[in-house]
Amino acid sequence: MKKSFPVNINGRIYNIDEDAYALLSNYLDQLHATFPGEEGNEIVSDIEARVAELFEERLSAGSQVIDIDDVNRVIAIMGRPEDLGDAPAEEQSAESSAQESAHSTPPPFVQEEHPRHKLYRDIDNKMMGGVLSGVATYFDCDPNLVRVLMIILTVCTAFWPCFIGYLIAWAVIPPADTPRRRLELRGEAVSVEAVGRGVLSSDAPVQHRSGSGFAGVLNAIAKLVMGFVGLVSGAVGIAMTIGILCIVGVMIALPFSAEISAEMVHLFPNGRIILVLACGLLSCLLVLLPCIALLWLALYVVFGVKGCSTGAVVGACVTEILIFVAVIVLSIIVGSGTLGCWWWHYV
Amino acid sequence: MNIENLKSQMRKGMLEFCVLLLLRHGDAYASEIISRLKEAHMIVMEGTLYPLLTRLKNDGLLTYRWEESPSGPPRKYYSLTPVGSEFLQQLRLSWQEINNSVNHLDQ
Repeated sequence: MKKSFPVNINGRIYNIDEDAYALLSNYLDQLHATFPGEEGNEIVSDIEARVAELFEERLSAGSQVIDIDDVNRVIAIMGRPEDLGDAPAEEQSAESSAQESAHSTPPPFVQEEHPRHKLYRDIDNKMMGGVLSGVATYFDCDPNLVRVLMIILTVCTAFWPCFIGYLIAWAVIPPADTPRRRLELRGEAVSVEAVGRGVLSSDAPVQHRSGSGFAGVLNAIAKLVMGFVGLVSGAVGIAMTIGILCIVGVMIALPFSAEISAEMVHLFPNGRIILVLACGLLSCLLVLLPCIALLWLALYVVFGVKGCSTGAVVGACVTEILIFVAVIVLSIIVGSGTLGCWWWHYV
Repeated sequence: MNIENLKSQMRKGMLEFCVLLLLRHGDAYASEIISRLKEAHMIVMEGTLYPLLTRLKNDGLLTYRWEESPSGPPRKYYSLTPVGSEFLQQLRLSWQEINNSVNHLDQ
């Protein structure tokens, strides 16, 4: 059984299998890379029209849905991108002696002997966001080794820097969610054949050597340490959240207590008391946000609660930074004003 | 020296000429051009034609118009421009010359 869905090719609707779609869209992506610019768009859309025609022939022969064999057949008929990119390149080199070409030919697609790795989050072998697994695949080493190293580093640097760094990496590094990205992450050449292989094998993602002895032990250690981190972060998160909420409660209650309120108004005259309270509340929020993140992390690690989206992480980081700036600005305003007042008062 | 490579180079070099020749008899859309070229064993990979058509068009040798088709979406019909006809004449002359030269040496 395979999932299939309708796609629009050149204004007509075709039902296409999921893997066939992945292969076809990769093929078209590669064509776009082979033929860049305005002219390239025209070429690719002409080729797309021809692909649609070939599919049409296939469907009129009685087929219901476009499958991966159809796409492979079409690619065989049309030619692979590296073969098609050849022709203009040769012509260009012949021409370039005669005239300086404005549109220089791009380097032929996928000609590198050792294609470079590209960093993506390896979501097929992830524990949290797939960041460390991606880094491991990027450097061709065992993800568990990287995880254990990261945990040691995290403990050595008092938790926060690595935690925030991880969240940022999670938000910034794109996931390896297409066959093409998986190949790029592993540093394999993105050719149609390789993509085809990737497409076919993506049904059953390659498990990372987790069975063998040493890796198995590492894996167990990693899981154990992750559990420990989860419990500790959960406990710390809960304690800090409760603490912060208490402080917020006290701050809100303060103005209502006549004695303290009079005392404070005396200390911070001219309505500056409002600013002081706002500053305090914002500071609490500043600490509360990471606490919530910590709690979420704990739930995620221990109970496997769904991770939050990239947008949410970015949003939280931005909010955190904005609050930080607001607190600093408020502190400066309140601080300078108050010091000035006291100076007038006592000197 | 790879014989297959050399053969395909020769064919590739002739492809533009063949497309122009073919359009001399009347306008055609890409799939027609492809099937004619295939009949003549001039093209193996269809994809090579499209960059070529676009280049010929951008160089002003060809122009195209959209035309409704009895089945399916509208098609791009290519036709020779006056510049293209001129160009074709020169190519034919030069082909004659090459043909003569090769025949001359072959005898």
